[in-house]
Amino acid sequence: MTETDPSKTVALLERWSGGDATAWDELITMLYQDIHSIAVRELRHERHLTIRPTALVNEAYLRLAGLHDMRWQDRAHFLSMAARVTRQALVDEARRRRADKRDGGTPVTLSDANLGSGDAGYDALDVDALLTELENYDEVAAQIVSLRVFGGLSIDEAAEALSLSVATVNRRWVTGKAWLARELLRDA
Amino acid sequence: MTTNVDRGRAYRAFADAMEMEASSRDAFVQARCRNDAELLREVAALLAAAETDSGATGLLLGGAQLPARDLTGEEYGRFRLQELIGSGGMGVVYRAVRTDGVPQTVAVKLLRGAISAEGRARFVGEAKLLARLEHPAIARLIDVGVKDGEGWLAVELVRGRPIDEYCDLKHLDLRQRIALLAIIADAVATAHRSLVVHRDIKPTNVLVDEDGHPKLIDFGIASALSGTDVARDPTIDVRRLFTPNYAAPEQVKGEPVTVATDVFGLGALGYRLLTGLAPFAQATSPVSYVLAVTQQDVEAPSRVAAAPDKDPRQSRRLRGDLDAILLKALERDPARRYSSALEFQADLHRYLDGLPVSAHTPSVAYRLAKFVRRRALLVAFSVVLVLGLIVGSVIYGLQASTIAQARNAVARRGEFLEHLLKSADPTIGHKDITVAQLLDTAVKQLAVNSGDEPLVTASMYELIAETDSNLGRYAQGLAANDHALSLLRDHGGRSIDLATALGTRGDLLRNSGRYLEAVVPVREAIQRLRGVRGQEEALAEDYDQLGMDFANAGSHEREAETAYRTAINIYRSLSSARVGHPLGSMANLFATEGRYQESESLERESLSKLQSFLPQDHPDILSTQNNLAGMLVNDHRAVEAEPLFRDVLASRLRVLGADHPDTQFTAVSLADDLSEQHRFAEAATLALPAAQMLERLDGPDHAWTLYGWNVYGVAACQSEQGTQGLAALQRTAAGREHKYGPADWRSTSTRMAIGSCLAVLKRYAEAEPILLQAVHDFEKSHGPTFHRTQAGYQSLRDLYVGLGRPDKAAVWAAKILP
Repeated sequence: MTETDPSKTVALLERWSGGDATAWDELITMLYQDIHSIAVRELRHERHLTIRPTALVNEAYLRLAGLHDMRWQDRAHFLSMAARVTRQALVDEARRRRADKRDGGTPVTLSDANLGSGDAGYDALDVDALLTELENYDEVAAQIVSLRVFGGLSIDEAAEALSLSVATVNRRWVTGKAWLARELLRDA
Repeated sequence: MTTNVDRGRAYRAFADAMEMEASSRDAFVQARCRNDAELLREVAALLAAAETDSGATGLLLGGAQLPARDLTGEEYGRFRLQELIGSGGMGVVYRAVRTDGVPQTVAVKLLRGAISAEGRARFVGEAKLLARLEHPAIARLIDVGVKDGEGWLAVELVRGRPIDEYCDLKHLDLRQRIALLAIIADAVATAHRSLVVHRDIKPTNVLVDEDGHPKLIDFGIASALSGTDVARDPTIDVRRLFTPNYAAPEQVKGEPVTVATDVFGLGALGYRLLTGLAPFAQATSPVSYVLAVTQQDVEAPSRVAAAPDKDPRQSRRLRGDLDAILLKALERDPARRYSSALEFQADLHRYLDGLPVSAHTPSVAYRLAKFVRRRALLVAFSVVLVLGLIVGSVIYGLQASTIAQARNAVARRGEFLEHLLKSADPTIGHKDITVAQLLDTAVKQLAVNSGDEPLVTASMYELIAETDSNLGRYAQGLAANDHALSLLRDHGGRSIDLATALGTRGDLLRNSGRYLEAVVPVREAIQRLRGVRGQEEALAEDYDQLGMDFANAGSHEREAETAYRTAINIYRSLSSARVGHPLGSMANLFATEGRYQESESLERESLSKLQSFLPQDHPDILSTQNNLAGMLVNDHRAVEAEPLFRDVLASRLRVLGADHPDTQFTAVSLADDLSEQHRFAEAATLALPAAQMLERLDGPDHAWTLYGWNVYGVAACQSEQGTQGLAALQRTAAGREHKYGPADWRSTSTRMAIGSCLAVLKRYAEAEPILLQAVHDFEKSHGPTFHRTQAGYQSLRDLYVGLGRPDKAAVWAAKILP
């Protein structure tokens, strides 16, 4: 399992805040490795093979935030990055499993407060595909739903991350979410 | 996929419908899906899912942090929600109306997440604190409650726009912006007194209404300080989103939040209002902000405002006091910021009043006024260019612009010059050129170029006169002031401008020791101001000044008292705490007349008034304390006075440092007090370095230096250092007789000290005639109960005991009061 190297992360953050755009890409790469490794670990231990994306994100967040007393508390921006990374990591893992005979093609399912309660789980690949479809109709709504589902962002955090008003985010969230829920139900 | 409907088309119809009012959605969808029953069914199903939200799908809400559900129409206590208007740090906010028919619209804030039993107690406690906050610039808390386990607050609905937008939209000038900021600082200070910190002061939390009244909103995340300065609030999620560019370093680091955090917020708000940019504006991402705010110093506001695309005058106006004030509020270390919002606000007011601000490095600001008054101020060369620019552009203005514009230009430049000169740091730039030279040049230029607009010229002369007055150039100042006054008189200048120029004349005369002459312009200023609306405070100030001039002139005590009483009445009618000033003046007057009881109660009232609006270490407060203590010494209450002197000494040491005359003056006063308590050795030890320092700072002839040597001499004589003591006293006597004349009580006092010292040294023959004469003089001037007369009786008694003349000793002993 890859562990984020704290000193390297600090250096990257500093470089990035100093205007070095390549540092951002490196941060994303590191975060991806981190989140992916957490996901794999979770999937190995969890019997029902259901992932709570927000838990992944929070763990990654806490690791980063705890580094060297650097409290990286800007949740909205961290989470929006993490949401993107988490979605990618989970989709990659689900695809790998689907292709891997040994895992028997077990799907990776998602469960989260923002997605649904209790044992309801959704195939990560289905959610990903539907969100990709939604991007064609309504990019903003797709982004909001993705942030909420994969990053656990609250309405106001999403508003902050996307530089939109709270009222707009709220409206578009209700819209996008209703559509996603209906499509997921239809598929189920 | 079981439907043939175009999914994209269905989504877009659905999303468009969602953008409309709920009531018109059906009609909209009917129209949009005309002739397409399947599409209609699909869109209707989506709408139903959205409108009933979690109810329809039962899947997508769960324990979400925020009710995405539209709560419009729901009732909370006496209020019905009307419209979602925003989201604060803790939850959503709706506009709501009263359900009981009372026409009141409020903002109802729904706090996110269920409240535990413990949380409920905290919530109610916090609500109580919030309800206590009453300030015109704080949005009022109207009601609180808990519904379905979630807390809600009904607060005053503020209709306005964020303060930064407002200032820009209305093109508010610097002073107007500072005035708004001062109101907010006052509101924050009020909240702090109720143990509430705001924690999130930023432009969007300060709304200004149509009438220009600012209001601080969203105390929602405020937390009780509950008796301590520090609150570590367990209910605040450490991951809580802070507001980049306004959050204090300790907030970003998750350290305890204190009143200093709000001081930082006020500083950041001020920074935005005065420079147009938030602190660390270059940190565009929150992460870079975190790094910047925790590791770098804030760039000086004047430097930010100096950007090439900005009006260069703004930068100049910010340099000096405003830079100092904002940077002090924005210090990274909370301990180095203003210790309260009130101090911050007091400095803003001082800036607006043209007084020295406290924000500069500890001693400089404070000592500046006195420094400037006493010594010719030297400043760096850049000032020459600036002043040249001012005079040059004023003259240009006269030729080119309308009168009104020229007047504005002068007002602005005057403000700037005044500011520049007053804030120039005397500890740097002791070379190049003196301001004196600048002023002479300015006068010459005015003489050559004046003409078209006499009132503008008058205001320039007045400015020069004020600067001269500050620099101790009284003759030059009077000449410039003459020009200003005659121009104003001849060309119908406003009463207020005349009163200002007359006040300057009073300052110039008074500072050159011509107290009775100063009375004339001050009286005229009073006549000009009397009855002018809005000038009541200025009028009261002039009466106070008139009283002090009478008191200083001597033999006009009743006129002084009348003037003080008038000043006191005016201030009282305005309910102004500045009444502390004339109260203190009158206390001093009474003290010199031996009316100690009246004096003491006045002095104490003065002190409490001054303390109500000035910071604890303010010069006026310290000198009032010093006066009070001095009065107690004269009233034979040296023991009571001692702690007061020690307080003042400690404050002055802290604020001014040891190498400041005021500090050393207090040290001498304390030594004098110790002598009165017969603790002569301590007194001598304290007085010697103080006198030496005063001599170095103010010269050997200064009143305070002489006082210092006198106190040292007395104490030394009584503590077995008679020879040194006697030498000091003899030098002092020569200095005082030269300065005040031989008949002055201070000269008498030193001669008496010499007599007593000689007696201690057993040089009775020399001592006797000196003591007898001094005691006689004091009896005549101050009467037998005067404490120095009494001390003389004691010395004579001891002298005759030493001479072996008990009969004569008994005569003097009988005069000593028990």
